[in-house]
Amino acid sequence: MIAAVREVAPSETDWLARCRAGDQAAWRRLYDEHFPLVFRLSIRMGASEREAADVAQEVFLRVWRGLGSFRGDSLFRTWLYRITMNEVSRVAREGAVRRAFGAMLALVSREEAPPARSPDRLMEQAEAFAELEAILGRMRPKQRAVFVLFEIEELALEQIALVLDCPLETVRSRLRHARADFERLRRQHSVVRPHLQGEPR
Amino acid sequence: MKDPERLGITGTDDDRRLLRSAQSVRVPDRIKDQVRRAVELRMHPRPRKRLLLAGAGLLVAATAAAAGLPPLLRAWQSPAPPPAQPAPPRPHPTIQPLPATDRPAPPAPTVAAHAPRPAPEPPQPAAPPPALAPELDLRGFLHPPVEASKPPPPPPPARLVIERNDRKPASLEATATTVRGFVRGRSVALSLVGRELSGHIGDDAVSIHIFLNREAHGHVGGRELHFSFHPTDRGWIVEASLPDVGGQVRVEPGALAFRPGCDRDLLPVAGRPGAYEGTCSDDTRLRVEVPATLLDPMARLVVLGMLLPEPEPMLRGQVPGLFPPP
Repeated sequence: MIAAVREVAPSETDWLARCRAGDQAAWRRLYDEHFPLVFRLSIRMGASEREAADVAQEVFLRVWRGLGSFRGDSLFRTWLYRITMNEVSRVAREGAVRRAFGAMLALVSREEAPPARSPDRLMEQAEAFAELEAILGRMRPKQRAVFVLFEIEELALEQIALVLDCPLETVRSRLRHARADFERLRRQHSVVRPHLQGEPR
Repeated sequence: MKDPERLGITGTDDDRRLLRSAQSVRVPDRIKDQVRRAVELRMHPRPRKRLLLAGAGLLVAATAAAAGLPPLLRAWQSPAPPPAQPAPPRPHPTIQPLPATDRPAPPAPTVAAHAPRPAPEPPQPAAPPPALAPELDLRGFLHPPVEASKPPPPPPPARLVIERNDRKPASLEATATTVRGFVRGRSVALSLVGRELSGHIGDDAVSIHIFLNREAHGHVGGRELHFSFHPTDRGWIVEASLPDVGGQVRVEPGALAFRPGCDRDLLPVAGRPGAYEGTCSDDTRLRVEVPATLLDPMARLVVLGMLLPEPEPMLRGQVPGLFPPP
């Protein structure tokens, strides 16, 4: 384990100590600073906005309950990533069970409409993200996790190994496969895309 | 071994474009605030219970103080009674004058009529206890009974009641903004603020927003809830999508029905507005009382949609519901 992973910034230590002592302002700051990380990671792992909100709720509750036992062996963010990835998996599993039973009983609730985005300036970015989501959605979950954490969240491989609780070599191997899948799926998508772009909207 | 270079740097233009787009994920402030409120609610799940206990403790302490302290204080403040002296025998006991009150004292006969009115005297310290305690009990005069000034007790709060002959009845205190009680062993405390119905069911935080387009969305313990409202000729139908059931409740002046749970309508009870009762085809007898003061109409439908439908037998044990299975 590299030293950088073990290192905890003094301000963060103080801050966590204040949270542990029940300082509400410190807790709010911790929440405000880290909510975007949790929410975005959930979305990038394929959760809908609503599911990401559920994930965030569970994550911060677990953070609050676990602050007393967080020893600072790793960065707080690493710990947060790990809890978030676990919660994302749980929500995905529950969602799958629910969808399966819902479909069987014809009780599927209405799917959430995609979030409204600005039609002009963000259109291109939104399209790109939709494309990225489509590609990531076709990757295997374990490879997708490594790919998102490395390529998008820009975590070091060692940190990813800590987050996913698996050996470093496994992370390397999954990343290799994930990159190969990503390239393959992107090429497939770019072959399909010109046809889609030609269709009226 | 060194980490490989990231595709965002060494990849193709397409790779970079796609990976850059992941940075555009927006974080809505509304969701951030909703989640924070829900987390903080779950961090301190039962503040009301603690407040209630503290309040009850204070009430008991205050009552005890009111009953027991004044005599003690009086005894402590008043000078010690003089040593017992043999009082001259009197044929009849006399009533000592009351201590000074707000009532103006009659003018002393010795003061001349033209003399200036004396300035009001500063309040006198409490008169020492009479040497001979009067036989008449004057405490009632000195301390008027509290009962006289007490406002009439408030009427008992309205209750939402769900009774089945095969299980313990659920009875919840219902007001225009709150509903509290126990259902199937789980405490329920929900309050309505604006269009937001929040609180908890057991240890699960509840947060439901009622939209103006006759829908409501929310979460309970991180699980999704959805309600849609449909007007009928005389009332409303709410379709509830809960973790363990997709149910329906119809509320009309002439009938109350909910599926799954009972396959027959419950009919109104004469002389009891809001009360319905009936027997399902499996001989289960049901009685439901929905007070008119329970929240507002839409929130009332949400609450009924959560409480009345029974869990789908196929989903029992598969998906945790709002309440433990019966």
